[in-house]
Amino acid sequence: MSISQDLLKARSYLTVILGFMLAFGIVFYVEKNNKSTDMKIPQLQLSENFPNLPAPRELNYQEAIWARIAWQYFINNTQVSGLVNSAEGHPYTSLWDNASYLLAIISAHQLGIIDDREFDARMQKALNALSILPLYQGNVPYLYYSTADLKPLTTTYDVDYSLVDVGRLLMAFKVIVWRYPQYNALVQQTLSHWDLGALFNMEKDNSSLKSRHNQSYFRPNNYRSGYGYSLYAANGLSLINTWAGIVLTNSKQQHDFAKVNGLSIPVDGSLMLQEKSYPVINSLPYVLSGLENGFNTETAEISWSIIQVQESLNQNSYRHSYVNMGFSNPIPRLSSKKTKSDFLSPSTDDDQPQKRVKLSLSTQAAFGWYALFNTPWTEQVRQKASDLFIPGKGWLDGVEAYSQQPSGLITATTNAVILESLVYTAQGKMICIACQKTKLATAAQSLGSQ
Amino acid sequence: MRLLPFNLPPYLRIFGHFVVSVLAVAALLLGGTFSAQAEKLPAQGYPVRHGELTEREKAVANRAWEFFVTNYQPATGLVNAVNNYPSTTMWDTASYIAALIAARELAIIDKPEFDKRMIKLLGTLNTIPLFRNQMPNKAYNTITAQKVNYVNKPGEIGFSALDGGRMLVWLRAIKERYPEYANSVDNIVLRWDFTNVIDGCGTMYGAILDGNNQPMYVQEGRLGYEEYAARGFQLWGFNTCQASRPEPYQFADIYCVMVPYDSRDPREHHQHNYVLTEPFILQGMEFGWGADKTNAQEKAAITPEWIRDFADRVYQAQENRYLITGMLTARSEHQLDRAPYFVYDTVFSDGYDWNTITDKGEFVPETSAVSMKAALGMWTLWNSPYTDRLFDTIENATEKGKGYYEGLYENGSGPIHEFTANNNGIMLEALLFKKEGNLLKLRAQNSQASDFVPSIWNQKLLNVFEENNKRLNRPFISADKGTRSWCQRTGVALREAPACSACQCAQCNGDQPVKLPPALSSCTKP
Repeated sequence: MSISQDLLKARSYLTVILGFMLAFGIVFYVEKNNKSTDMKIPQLQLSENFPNLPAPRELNYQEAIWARIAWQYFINNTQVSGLVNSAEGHPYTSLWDNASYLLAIISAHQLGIIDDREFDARMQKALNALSILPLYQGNVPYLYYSTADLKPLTTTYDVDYSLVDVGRLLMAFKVIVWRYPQYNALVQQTLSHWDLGALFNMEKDNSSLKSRHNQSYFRPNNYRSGYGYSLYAANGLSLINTWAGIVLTNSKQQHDFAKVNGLSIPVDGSLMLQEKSYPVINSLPYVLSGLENGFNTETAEISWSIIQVQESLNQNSYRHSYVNMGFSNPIPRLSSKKTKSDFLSPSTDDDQPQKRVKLSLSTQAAFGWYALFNTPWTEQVRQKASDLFIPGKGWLDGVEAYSQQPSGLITATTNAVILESLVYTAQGKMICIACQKTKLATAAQSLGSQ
Repeated sequence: MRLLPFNLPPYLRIFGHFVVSVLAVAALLLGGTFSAQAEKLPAQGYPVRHGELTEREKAVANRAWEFFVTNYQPATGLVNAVNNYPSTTMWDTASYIAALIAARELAIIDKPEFDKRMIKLLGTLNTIPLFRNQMPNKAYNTITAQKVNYVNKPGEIGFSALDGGRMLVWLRAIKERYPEYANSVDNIVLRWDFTNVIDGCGTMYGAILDGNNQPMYVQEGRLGYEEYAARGFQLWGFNTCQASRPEPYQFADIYCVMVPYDSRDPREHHQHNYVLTEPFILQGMEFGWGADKTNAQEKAAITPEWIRDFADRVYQAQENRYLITGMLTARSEHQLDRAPYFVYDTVFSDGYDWNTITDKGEFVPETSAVSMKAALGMWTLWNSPYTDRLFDTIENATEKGKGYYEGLYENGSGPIHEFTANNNGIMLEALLFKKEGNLLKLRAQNSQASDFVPSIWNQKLLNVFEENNKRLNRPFISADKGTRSWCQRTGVALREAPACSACQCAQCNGDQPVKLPPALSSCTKP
């Protein structure tokens, strides 16, 4: 038989073999050329070394005392109006700080520091005060108010109102509605005075999603901005309407991420210490995301990266002066212009808000990170922060990076975060859906709560 | 026997048993480290202060002694209890004795001055008229040494078992430190009639006068003071079982500390169940605790563990009040420089915490103060940043020639412009404690030495033929070997306790250990 005749006889087999080879060739070609795209945001995947998260446990004695030291701030700084000063000695407040106050009241009640009666008195007064605040263009509260007479204050920030603050307040309302449903009516009533939906225009133009007031949403401002805040605020603001939820999770925003020691972390500033540059991270929004709403993969991954970066930088830094960076809580410089009307005047160039003080040890971050990730490093940091309080006044913001002196500020947010972190340790995250049984009966509280 | 659930390769099989034992030990160690460590109060970890006095501390001692110079009454050897007011009690006189001894030991005065004062004082106490010939009256005029009432006019009030108890502690202290005075001291106590002051079960009673001027004997003492005064009686041989037991007590949850208080109902018994720092610091300083416990053989001189535990709680609640509210706290009863003149400034009393009340129970919170003696007592017994701060605060609250103010008002209105023997005396005790440790130092006596003679008190009490023993209800004391042989040599018939001591008091078991609940409160269980 000749070769060609053999081939003819075997043509079906050959066809099959050729077909397989063709198919495999196509497959290899497609596989090789179709590179799997890197996830644009690597933190949407939980890393290999992500630790086990701590389970709730009883507080120990020291923690019980620390909680009471934090609560003392609110005892001292609650004003007649029902709202709380942003910081000791600073007679003004913002929505953010009042949200901190509401969460502090809830935390103190859950930890047995205040009883039902005091809880009710404070909560009602605060919610009522919020509901009578004068509003910006009738929709949303201003940035800062005087705590004495609830009049809005002109500040040197370049925003008139803050959606981030509204987001925190809505988060606080979320907690109230789940855990203290008897306050639903009062919360609804407070919100009914505002028109938050009007802030989100159901329109999309070709460059960016805009809010009604032509303020490009979450553009960087000098009040509270950054990726962390946008992640955190989304939890609360998405309650408003569908468009708000979409706008907030649209990732066309600019983020400032840097790679430090191989880990990608959000950076809010930098600091020179002993001629080395260190990244400064505002941990606060990530801490709050974990303590209140609970982590998702993204916030968990970012948080874990932050902690790892801090630990490695601390071990390498000379004399461990870098411990866990953060910022002092913002204190506004009130504009020298005083206006009588409800409209805020635009700030002038020479009025700058007070620069945010960089901290080498942030008390609220120390407590928050320990509660969320109970590791030896976070425990060590919290221990370092454990004497940063003034007896009778509450917790300081931390240790200032440049001067290495304790910060002079005692703020509502720091003390609230400490209380929240201790509730987290004892019970888990603040939004908890089936936990009414934990605290409706009268708390067995310490008699010394005078 | 199969120790492991899998087969080891042959070369490892011989180590099978070894491996298992190593695993077991490792498991035990791991379990040990994770087992719940009972959490302790920080106070339980603060050591006592010990060492020579610094210049600042010497200055405090010198200034405190000035009170006893200004208020000394040479005619009687007594010292005014309150500045410029010629009246005193046995309690305050005992504080004077403490101050006198401290002044000598700290070299503020020399031996001649000490002897002059002591001789005069002991002489007065030996002849001082007693209440109905029983125990010393509650108050005496310091110039005449006559019994007086509360307005310092001649009269009688009654007697106090607590005052008597403190005096007994310090009389014993004199005997131990300065045996040359032992006879004088013994004769003082040999005059006292204990019939109505202490019963067979060891309960102490005070005397007051009723409407018809007849004495009424009422149980006296609450948790803290009761045990302290009982130690005094115990040091002289009395059985103080009931009084020395902490029961009945309950706990109040104050700033996350379970603070003990006497649970006898104040409404029924007309006695406030106050919780104060003073009786605890007195026990700590005078008898020592923890590592400073005296290693004397005498049970009366040893502080039971529970007293240290209760004292730690009373201290910690006050430290916590400072940490949380910023208010410096060192509370004890004290005089005032205006009406109502005297308050119980308590950690807890009559159902309320931080209760400041008069003797009649009137609530006077504006008079609450940092008490100097409490502050310095806390300073000497608990070495902590908080007590350092207390020292800084009180160091210069004085007036030259008068000693230390009674206290500093908590509301910030300044010092209590009053000066007392008790306050300055206890401050001197605190400083002497820092230098020497516990103040009641029992002298080692070898009763089997050939020249040994028991004290006069012991001689009389061991003598069956001493008629006053029964009449004055003196205790039965036990004789050791050396004392027995002395009695045999000198023809003294031994007076021994009746065989059935349980018949006297069935319900009290002095050796039963005191079980204590944890010091930490429900603060940690939300």
